[in-house]
Amino acid sequence: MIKLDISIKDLIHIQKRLTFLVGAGSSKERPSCLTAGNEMKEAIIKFGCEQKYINDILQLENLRFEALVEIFQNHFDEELKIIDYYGNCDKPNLQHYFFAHMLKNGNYLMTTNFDCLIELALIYLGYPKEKIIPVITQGDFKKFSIPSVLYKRGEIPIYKLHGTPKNIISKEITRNSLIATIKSLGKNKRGISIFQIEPFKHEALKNLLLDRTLVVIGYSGLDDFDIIPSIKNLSIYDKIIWIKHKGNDNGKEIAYQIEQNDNFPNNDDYYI
Amino acid sequence: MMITIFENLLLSIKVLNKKIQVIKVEANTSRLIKELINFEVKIDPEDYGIDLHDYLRKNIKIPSNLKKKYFPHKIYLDLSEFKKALRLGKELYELAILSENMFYQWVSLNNQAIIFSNLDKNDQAIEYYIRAIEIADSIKDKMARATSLGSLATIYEIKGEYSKSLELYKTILDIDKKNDNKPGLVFDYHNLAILYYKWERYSLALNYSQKALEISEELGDIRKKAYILIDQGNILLKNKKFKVALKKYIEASKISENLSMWKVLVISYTSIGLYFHYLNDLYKAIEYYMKAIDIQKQKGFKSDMSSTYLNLGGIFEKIRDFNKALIYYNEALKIVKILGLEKGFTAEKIKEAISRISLQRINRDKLILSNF
Repeated sequence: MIKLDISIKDLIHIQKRLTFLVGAGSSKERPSCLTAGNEMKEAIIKFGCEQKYINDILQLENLRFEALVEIFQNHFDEELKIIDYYGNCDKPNLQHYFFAHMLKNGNYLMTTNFDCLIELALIYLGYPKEKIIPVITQGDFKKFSIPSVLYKRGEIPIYKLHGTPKNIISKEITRNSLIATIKSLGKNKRGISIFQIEPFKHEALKNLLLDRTLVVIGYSGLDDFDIIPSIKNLSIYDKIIWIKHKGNDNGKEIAYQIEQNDNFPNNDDYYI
Repeated sequence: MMITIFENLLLSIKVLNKKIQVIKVEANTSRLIKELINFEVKIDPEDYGIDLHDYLRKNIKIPSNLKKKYFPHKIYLDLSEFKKALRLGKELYELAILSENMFYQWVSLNNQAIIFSNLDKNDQAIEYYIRAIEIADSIKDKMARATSLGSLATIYEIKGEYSKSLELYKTILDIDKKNDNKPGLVFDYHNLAILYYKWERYSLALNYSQKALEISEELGDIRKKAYILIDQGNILLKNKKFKVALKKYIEASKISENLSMWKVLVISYTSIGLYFHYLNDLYKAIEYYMKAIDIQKQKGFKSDMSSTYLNLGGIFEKIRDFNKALIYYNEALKIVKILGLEKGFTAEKIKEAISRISLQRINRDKLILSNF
């Protein structure tokens, strides 16, 4: 790894074609205060398991969030009301405003978050509501698979890769699509497998990444089954800048360039 | 320097996509964003103060004791933690008896049967499936009955009791035909194809496999199609139609790669590996087995990993690279031990191979010594 003598401000501002991939970490900051996957996982386990098994289940390393949510949905919460916990939040934080600003500047964005806080930030920044296009359902992904076409019309698409219970712009209830996605994620993620982005999302994903700089933020990438494998396998973007959150960075970020000859560890434990 | 899983992920992006510039930035994201924002923002001073635990209690029906027992049982089962799942399955059954809940009695018996079959205890699995079917019949739950019947048929098939298995599959096929249950028919025909394949009645196997394939295409069920293609490849291989078989495996691997069906992709690669193994193109076989093992490692598919290691060990044994063969056989043994299957059929096969290799090494050493 080579340490780069460059600030993220320079890195981001000199790039003209950015695509953001936004994860749950971005909605943790106040006032949104939404819990990320691990805390939700813990809450579900505590709610659904007999007391004496809670600790053991919590320690299962292979238990994936989506797999857990799928079992939970099948037996406790058919309509996935649990996701409304995210959908009901109406308090965007600074990060959401930043993303909204970047979207207004013509950059692209996709998110696995269930909340609608980026849409709200755009509205609060005065962007016309009718020009905001949350892309959630199969129909949406087919209709809005080319972001550049939307931008030409002054519309801003927000690609919600894992869905959301409701399209807060059109008011369409999109719960079924969310349930289908969770089911598809759960099916192949029983601790063993991982992800699979639904085929109808492939075209949009390709158009979001082609010849662009991908900026990953709020995302550990370690508990992801669908997006990261797709990103790993798609060789169509120019650059990836992955911002890894650090509690205390002494007021200055550090950037490293990963080199091809950096050694992989031999120990199997390091496989993801 | 210690490389973390995160860095390993970035490294793998770089290795897979050499032209892509990969940059890792370590930063306090909140601080960083504050610096990047060059416009005024009015942030709501009040937090979204909903406690998640409270939210769950208020919005989701509090689960019954049966469900609270079932939930960890199902988690263990899905994660192949069979011993724990079995213990909880028994507790679930006792609780279901106490609560006079027939559905959960069926669930626990059916799931215990699944566990027994995974632990290679097929006789116990049969006993539990039969009990599960009796309960499903008593509550007239057709879905439950069909589920247990299908699984029971599979166990008979594993045991080589093909006539019993055929009878059960045909019962389910009749039910699905009557109900015009097309997704069910895909499964039924596919199951029959596998059964006839094992029974070495390859033309019948191919016939049913084709029926399954056609309906899966009609339904647009691409995922199922990938499974059927692999089995069709196996049947064609037995008919010595090598090129067509390879085509089927490759088509299956493409589908599974596109749909990120990692387990199926592993099976496809393993099948291609076996294909080359069969044709004695051993280095090509190694290439595909290695592809399979890479995915198995990345995704933690432990239960299938032992067979792949076993295959690799077999090839290295064949090319008389005993050191490598032993490494892979030992890896396979390590996995079956982790899975608690050290007394199963696969473990026996691995142990046999290890002692065979050890003997061959001793003989080779003796030969070297005698040459001195």
